[in-house]
Amino acid sequence: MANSFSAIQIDRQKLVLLSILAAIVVAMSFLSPKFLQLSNFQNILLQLAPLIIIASAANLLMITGNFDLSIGSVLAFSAIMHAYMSKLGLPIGLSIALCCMMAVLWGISNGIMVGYLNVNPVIATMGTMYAARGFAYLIARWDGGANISAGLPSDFSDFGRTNLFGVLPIIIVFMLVTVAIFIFIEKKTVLGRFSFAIGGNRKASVLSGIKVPQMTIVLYSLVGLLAGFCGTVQVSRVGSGFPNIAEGMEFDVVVAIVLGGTSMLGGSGSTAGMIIGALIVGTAANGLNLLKVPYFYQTITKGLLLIVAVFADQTIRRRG
Amino acid sequence: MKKLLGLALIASLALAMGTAQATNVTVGHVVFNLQHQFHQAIAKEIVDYGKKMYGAKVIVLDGQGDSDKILKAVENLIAQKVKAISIHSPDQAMTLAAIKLARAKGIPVVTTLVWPAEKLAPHVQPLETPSSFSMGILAATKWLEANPDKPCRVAILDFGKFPPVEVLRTTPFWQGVKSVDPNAELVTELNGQGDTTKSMEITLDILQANPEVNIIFGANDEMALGALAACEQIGRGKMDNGVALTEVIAGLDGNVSAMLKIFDPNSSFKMTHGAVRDVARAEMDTMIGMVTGKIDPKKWSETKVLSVVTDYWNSSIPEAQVFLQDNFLYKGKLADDIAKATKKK
Repeated sequence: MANSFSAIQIDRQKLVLLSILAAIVVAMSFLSPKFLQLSNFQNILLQLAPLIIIASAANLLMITGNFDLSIGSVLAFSAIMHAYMSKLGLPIGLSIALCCMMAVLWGISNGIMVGYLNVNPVIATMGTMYAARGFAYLIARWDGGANISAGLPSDFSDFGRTNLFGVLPIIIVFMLVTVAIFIFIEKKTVLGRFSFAIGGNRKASVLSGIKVPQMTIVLYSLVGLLAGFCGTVQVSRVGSGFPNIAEGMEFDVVVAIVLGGTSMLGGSGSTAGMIIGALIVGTAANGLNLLKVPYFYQTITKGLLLIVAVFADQTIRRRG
Repeated sequence: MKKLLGLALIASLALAMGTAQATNVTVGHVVFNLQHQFHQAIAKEIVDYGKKMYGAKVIVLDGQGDSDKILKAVENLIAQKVKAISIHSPDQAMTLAAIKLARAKGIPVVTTLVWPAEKLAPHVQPLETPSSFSMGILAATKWLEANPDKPCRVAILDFGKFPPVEVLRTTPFWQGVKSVDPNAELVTELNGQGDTTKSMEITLDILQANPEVNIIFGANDEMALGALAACEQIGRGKMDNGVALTEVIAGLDGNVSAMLKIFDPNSSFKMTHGAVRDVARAEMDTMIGMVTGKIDPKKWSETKVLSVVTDYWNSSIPEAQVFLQDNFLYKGKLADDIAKATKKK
C-alpha cells in the first residue's frame, strides 16, 4: 500500500515537471517559429547530452545522499589531458581510454574520502574540484600557453563530431545509451536498490550488511568516469583544449537533478525525473536564445524555474 | 694608465648603480584573468620587459575575472608598498575606486583597454575601434564577393552589451559591414561570455533560429572559435581556398588558436586583431614614467597602441609567425602547426 502510494506521489511529481516542460514548449512554439522543429530538438539534445550523461550517475549518487562538486573540474582535467596526449602523438582511442581511467581515479579519491574517511561530500569534492581544475591549468601551462590548440592532429575533432548514420550526433547516441544503462541500474540492479536504501537510512543500510563505503566509491567512480568521458567528447567537439571548459557545470547538474525531483537528502529520485529536469532547463535556455533574450534574463529564468519546481515538489510532498 | 682604467671602471659602476637606483623598483600588475592567453601574454611581457629595460621587479596578481578579487589584489599590492600599479579590469567603477585607494597611499596607477569611470589617470589604449571597423569591411567584402546575391546577415557574440566592448569592438565591426552593404542586417547579438564552449552552444541556437546568418563576429577569439565549432558541427564553417561558402567568422586578440584556423584555406574563421607586446610595454613605460616623475600620475593621458589585423587574404603566415612570437610567446612553427591541423580536402 505504502509502495503504491509512493509511486502515485512520484508520478504526480513527474506530472508537475512534465506540465512545466509542456508549458515551456507550447509558449516557445508560439513565440518562435523556429522552435518546434526536429532540428531544434536535436540541437537541444546536443547541448544537453554531456549534462544528462554525467547527471545519470550523479543522480544515483545524490539518491545515496551524496553529491559531487568536482564534475566540471574532472571534465576539464580529462579534456585538457586528452588534448595534451593527442598532441604528443598518442592514438585518439588510447588517449580517451587513459583519460577515462584518470577520471575514475579522481572519482575513487572522492569515494574514499566520503565513504571511508567520512569527510563531508561538499568539502571532499570541493577539494577535488580545485585540485583537478588546477591540474587542468597546469597541463595547459606545460604545453606553453593558456590552452592547447597548436599541434593537435587533424583528426582530433572527428570523434566528437561524428554523426551516426550521417544525422545523429554521436554524443546524443552516448546519452541515450547511458540513460538506458542507468534506468536499468536504478530499477533492476543491486546497485540501484542499495543506493535508495543508503539514501533512505544509512545506519540501517550498514546494519543490514550493505557495504556503504564500497558502494559510495563505485558511484563516485561512475560519476568520474562519465565526467572524464564527456571531457574527451567535448574537447573534441570544440577542437582545442581549454582548461576553463565546463566551469560551473556541477551546478547545472545539481539543478537538473533537483528539478527532476531527487531529494538532496537522498532516498528518492529517478533518472527519468532528472532527464525532465534537464530538458526544462535546456528547453528554456534554447527558447530564450531563439528569442534573442539577453543572458542575464536567462539566468533569472533558470533560478525562477528551479524555485517554482522545488516549491511545487515540496507542496506535493506535504500534501502527499 | 692603470689609474685611468680604474677611474673609468669606478665611474661606469657608479653610473650603473645610479641607473639601477633610479629604476630598480617593484611595481604591481593586476591581471583581469590569467585563464586567457591574452592576459597571460601581457603579464609575461610586462615582467620580461620591465626587468630588461628598467631592472624592475613586477608582482603579478590574478584578478580571476572578478572585480572583488581585482580590488583585493590592488590592496595587496598597496600593502606590499609597490611604486606603481597597472590594472586591467572591465569594471570601470571598481577601477576608479582602486585608483583612489592606491593614490591615497601615494601609489600611481595606469589602466588599460577599459578606461575608469572618471578619466583621472594615465591610460593605455589599444586602437581596437579602427581595426574592428576594418574587419567589418573585410568580412562583408569577402562575403559579397563570393555571394553577391545574399546580403550580409550578422550575428555577434559579445560580453553582455558591455559598453567599452561595444565602443571598441562590436559597434565598429557592425558599422564596417554596413559601410559595404547598406542592406546588411544585424540579426542577433548574444552574450558568449568570452567562453568557447558557451559560444558554441549559443551559436547552435543562433543558427537554428537564423540559418541565414553569414557573418559572425566573436568579441574575442575564444568566442569566435566556439562559433566556428558550432558551424562545423552542422556542416558549415567552410570556405573553398578563401572563398566564402557558408559564412565569414571574425575574432579578436590574435592568439595561436585563431591563427591556426585563419590560415586554414577551408575554414570560415578568417580574421582577428590584437595587440599584446606593445600594450604591455606601454603599461610598463607609463609606470616607470610616473615613478620617475616624467608622467603626471594625476592627469588623464592616453598612450595609443596599434591593434594589428591579421587575416587570410592580406597577411602571410611568416607575418603571423612573427606576430605570435612577439605577442603570444609562441615558440612553434606556425606553418607546420597549420599543416598538422588542416584537413586534406
